[in-house]
Amino acid sequence: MKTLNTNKNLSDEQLAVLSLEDHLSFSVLMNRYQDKLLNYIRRISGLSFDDAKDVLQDIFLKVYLNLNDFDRDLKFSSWIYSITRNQVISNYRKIKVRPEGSAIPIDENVIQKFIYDFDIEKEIDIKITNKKIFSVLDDLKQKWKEVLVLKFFEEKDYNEISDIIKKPVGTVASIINKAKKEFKKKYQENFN
Amino acid sequence: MNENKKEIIIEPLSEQVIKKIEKENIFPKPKWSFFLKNCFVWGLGFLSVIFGAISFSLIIYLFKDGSGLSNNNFGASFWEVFLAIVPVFWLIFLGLFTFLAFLNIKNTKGAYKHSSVLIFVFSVIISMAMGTTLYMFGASQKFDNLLGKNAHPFLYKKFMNPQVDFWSEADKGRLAGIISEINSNESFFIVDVDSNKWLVNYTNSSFSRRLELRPGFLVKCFGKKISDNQFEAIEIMPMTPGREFFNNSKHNKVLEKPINSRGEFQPLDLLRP
Repeated sequence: MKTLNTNKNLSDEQLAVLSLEDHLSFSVLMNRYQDKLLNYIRRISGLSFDDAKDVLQDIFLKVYLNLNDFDRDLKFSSWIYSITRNQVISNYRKIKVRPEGSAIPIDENVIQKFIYDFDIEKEIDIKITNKKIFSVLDDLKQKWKEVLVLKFFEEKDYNEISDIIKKPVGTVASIINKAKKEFKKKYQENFN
Repeated sequence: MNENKKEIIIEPLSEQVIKKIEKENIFPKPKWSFFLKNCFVWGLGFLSVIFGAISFSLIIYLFKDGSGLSNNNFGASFWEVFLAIVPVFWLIFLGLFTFLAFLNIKNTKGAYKHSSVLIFVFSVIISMAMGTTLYMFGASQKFDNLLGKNAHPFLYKKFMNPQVDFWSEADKGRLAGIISEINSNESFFIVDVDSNKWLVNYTNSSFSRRLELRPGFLVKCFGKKISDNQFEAIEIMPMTPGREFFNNSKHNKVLEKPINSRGEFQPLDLLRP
């Protein structure tokens, strides 16, 4: 274990600039995103925890290498999510994995949002709803799944999703709508 | 600043990454490398737009000269006329370079915020606008001259300017060439694309308003082949694209066969208007 003194109150964008000179600032950034990105990777790829960790290590190195390419008009979070998405996609091409997304517990608020947005019947046991949601998500095409994950699990707005998946905001809105319909249809087919 | 600094514990993953960065002496890529990459993408996009524009200017130039064929097919079939009028080769080039421009623009930073259709339409419009400007300033004629002089003869007459091939079929009543000498009020000599010399009789011929009957002028004639070196013209028109092709040393042996005042070969360079 190693300790370091770093300003935790700095924004991601400020830390990204400081990281160019100082490894420790980059550590703070990594710590901020480690859990979020691990879950994101596992949700969109279905990789196991250990495999996701390996992918994330490569992602952090890539982020470090490309720090000078960070567009300060963007949010740092959008940029790092975009790099993560691209890395997962290229990883996906190399190894075909079976989805294991259902192994990741969902926050109850997210489940509530799903129940409200998709008109899903609430189960007594929240774990069952969790499992059902993931089994349907895993069954969806990657392009539907990834926007739903970004919207509902990562709680990104349309502009951020647009910056992450590199599509116009209007297209994002349309993909999300279609993804929602597809999710609802599959959920009804499987569980109603 | 120091008051805000707090002690935090590095998580194993970040520790591993930092160790790797330090051990392998990894540094962020310099800013200029990204700047260079952006310049390269924009540069390729710009070049593609320029080539698209040149293609479009040549399309207008060739189409304008060949458009008369839509009223009179001069004894040719529909497809022969179609291929002579429509510059398919340049249309393919325009499509190719517009697509390349589209791909490059699409790969620039921030381009994803705009729809692909919009970027594509933008690429097409910019190529067309620049192409029209080039045409208006006479650049298309210069490009055609350059190609006619330097391109491979087969490529030029079959694809780049198929009108040369269309008007080089004396057997079918179509003959093009450079006037080498005005013989009388009824005939003149021309040198065709294969360096053959023809005596063209124009007693019963109609003329285009733009036509100038003088040595060095490129004309296309519709009529009837009388013999291997005589042609009876019904209609004589000026021919603009392909002028320099008749001076293509790779193809035309005229430069080696001078024409004297009696209508024998002399260097085409001396015959230019």
